Amino acid sequence: MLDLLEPISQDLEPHLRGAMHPGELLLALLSADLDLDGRFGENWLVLTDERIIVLHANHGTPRIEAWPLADVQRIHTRSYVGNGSLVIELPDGLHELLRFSQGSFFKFSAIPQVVEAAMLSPLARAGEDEDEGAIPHRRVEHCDTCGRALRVGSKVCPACIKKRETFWRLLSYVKPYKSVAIFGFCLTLTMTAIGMLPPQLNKHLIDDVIVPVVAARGVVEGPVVPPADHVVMLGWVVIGLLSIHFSRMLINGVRSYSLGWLGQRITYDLQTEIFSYLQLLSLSFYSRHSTGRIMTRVTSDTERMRGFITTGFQDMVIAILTLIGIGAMLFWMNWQLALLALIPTPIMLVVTLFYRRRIHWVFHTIWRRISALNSQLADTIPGVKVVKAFAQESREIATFDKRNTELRESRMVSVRMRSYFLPAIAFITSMGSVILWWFGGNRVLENTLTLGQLQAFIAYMVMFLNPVRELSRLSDELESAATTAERVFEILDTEPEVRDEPQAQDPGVIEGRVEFRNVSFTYDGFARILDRCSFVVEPGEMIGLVGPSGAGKSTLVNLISRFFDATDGEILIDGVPITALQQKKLRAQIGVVLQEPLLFQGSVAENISYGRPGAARTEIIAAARAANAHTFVMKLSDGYDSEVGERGGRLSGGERQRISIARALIGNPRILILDEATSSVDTQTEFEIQEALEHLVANRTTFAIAHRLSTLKNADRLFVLDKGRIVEEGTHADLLEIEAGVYRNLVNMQSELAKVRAL
Amino acid sequence: MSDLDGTQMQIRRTDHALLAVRIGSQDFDDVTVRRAFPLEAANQYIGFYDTEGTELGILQDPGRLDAASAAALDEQLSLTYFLPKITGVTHIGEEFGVVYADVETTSGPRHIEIRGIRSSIRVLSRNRALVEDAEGNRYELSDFRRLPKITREILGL
Repeated sequence: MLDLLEPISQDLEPHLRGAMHPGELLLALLSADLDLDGRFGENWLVLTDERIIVLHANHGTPRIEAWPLADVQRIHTRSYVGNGSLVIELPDGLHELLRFSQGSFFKFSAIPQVVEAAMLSPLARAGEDEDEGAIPHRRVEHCDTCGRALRVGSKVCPACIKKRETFWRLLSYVKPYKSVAIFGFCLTLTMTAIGMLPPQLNKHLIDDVIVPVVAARGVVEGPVVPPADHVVMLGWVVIGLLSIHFSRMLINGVRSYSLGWLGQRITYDLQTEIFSYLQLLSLSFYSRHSTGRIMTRVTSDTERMRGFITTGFQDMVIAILTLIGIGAMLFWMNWQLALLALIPTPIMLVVTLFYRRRIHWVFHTIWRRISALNSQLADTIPGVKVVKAFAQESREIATFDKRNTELRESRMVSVRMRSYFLPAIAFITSMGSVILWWFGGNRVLENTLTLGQLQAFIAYMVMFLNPVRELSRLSDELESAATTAERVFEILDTEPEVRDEPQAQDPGVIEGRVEFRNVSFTYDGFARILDRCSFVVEPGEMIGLVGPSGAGKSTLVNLISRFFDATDGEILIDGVPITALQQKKLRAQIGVVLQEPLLFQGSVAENISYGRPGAARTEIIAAARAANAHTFVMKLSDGYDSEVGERGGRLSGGERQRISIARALIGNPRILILDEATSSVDTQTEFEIQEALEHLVANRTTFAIAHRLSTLKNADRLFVLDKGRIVEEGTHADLLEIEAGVYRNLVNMQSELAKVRAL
Repeated sequence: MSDLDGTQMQIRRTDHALLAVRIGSQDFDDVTVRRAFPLEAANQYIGFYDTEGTELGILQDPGRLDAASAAALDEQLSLTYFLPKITGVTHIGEEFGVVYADVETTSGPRHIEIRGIRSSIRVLSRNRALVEDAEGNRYELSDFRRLPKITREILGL
């Protein structure tokens, strides 16, 4: 909610005060961001209890225009594309007062109402009372750090997200299993430490076992008997090497199993957490995100995160520790040689840093393109019937091909970068060994270094390359996991727009009295889908909602189910604001039958009892009977145990609809919503469904939307909606009385249509 | 259409293998019976239909019938519903996505071929499964947990 009095700059405030008469009361002060010629500018609407004043603040001294409220015959907003204007009608004609961009449309759309109120009652002081003066608008939230606009419902600023925080948050999934993680880590550590022993053994073998014998013997032709003590020493070294490799094998097996176990637990936790959270999110989240993208986040994204959390992270720590360990070993053995061997390392670090920065964006692109591809799959595979009906297979193939090509191209960028980077890193690091051969070789020739020491040094140098290579690979994985994690956490950080207040109460068994008080609603913050609707429906009343497409009928019933919250105004159920009631408890008492009944894979019985798992079979049969579904169900070979197929595909449209009516009925709802329940079935089926609905509506508050007006013949009252407003209200007979009424028009049109059909 | 009271019913099979039912004082010849839940509650919720196909009612609990009626109903149901139970698997193999199995059933030994285990095997409650072979014949596999691990893996259970 935003106050109608927006803060004005200190420069303009004196001009505003100067423009107002003494004692004139300020009701609204709103800024408009466009000039009348469509250029960006700063203009202010000043509404007082006497006048409408416009302050054009653009150039030097502000220009002020004013019109007495007494002269205003009408005031309204006009919506264009991407902008709108405020227009007043004066005795001499229409005047365009202000223009504003789309973002400001909603706040200005409240002005006519305020002006009308001010004209009717001089005491109306919209600005005085916070509630009265507050107007709905789409709130655009901004990042506290950088000020960038955040995505709707998201608190995460992609620009300010801290990698380190993402990283620690990723690791927090290990917390419940930290003992296994630590165990796996210790095994890895032990395995790495043991892996560093062979060069030392080899050094001992060369310097103490082989070289002294060879040197003492000189050049001798033919086989000789080796000294017994050296043979024993050789045996011990070989046993040592064997033990090392054998223990590494054992440790590796246990490590693989424990890390694999850990990985599977983490994937399970992540997927369950995301799916559970998705169930909590409001419908508006689903209208903003494509199914394919959401599915990608639950499946492959979590898999990628698992890979990093379990093995990736450990490998990274081990690589770093190994680097430090081997580095220390090299310096301990010969610090001058170690320094020489490590010359290429800084170059390698710079190259890696550059590569990481670049590859981050490449991964972002790849991720977006995979999602785009999945979106198309999620669209076209369920919609394959439409594709075939319009013979658009080649077009869909072409679109897929285009997206797939884009994906291949962006993947090729990463392939190309890797193919430059990895060999370059390998080359740079191998330079260390080359340097070592030259300087170390010379030292051996000069007899300042033993052959065994050089061999061990080179072996460690080769071992040094492995973690270096591993680190460059892991930097890819880290980037990829961080990008993926950001996307997944974005879902988990999205706050459901429709939330239960902490003090939300259990409504108990409701009676079904529904009241709308001045309810407005907008999906996009621009157009009012519902505009100040007010009505009271008593328990058990049946209300028919009629009106042209887009009049706001479905939105109205969606608000009763609380799929969305009203942008403005109040909805009361049994006199209690809907926002003060627990959503789940309320929805359990609202039965909904939609135009396209969606059934889930499973049996007829499972679908009927969807809203009340565990319902007795007797209740399932009773609900099916009331929905006129029992007869056809009993004709199916598996009766109520028959599979309905994916989305209920094994049943006809009318059968699916009757199952969905039974599903709505089994919960014994107090409020029933029928949203075009019979519009997609043939006349015979409609008759049967209609009959079923008569059972259904008895003693329940019912809101029925129907295009076929005959469907609403039993309604107690009809609400006729047009452009979001209830324009007519009454019984069928009452409404027919209204000359040139919307309802009468609709009835006439349908009668004409019926005549045409009869021909 | 209503719920039928077993104590008020007499059921017998006629000489022509038809089912004759007396409900209260009304007699119906050639009655058809259908199970409402043939897979999940095969012996409860039995629908009775006259020659016109009009439902006479649903008998929730056939246990309330007298013994002779219960036996007649049982016999009629077992003729109406043919769903052999697989009692053992003597041999099983898989090739190119088709499962071949030699099974023992309550109706005798049988060689079955299952194409696509995802669409042909349906898990029911109490560790049972409904298996449909390539010819469309169906079998009930009771307590699949007792099968050897390899058999369960091949069947995806």
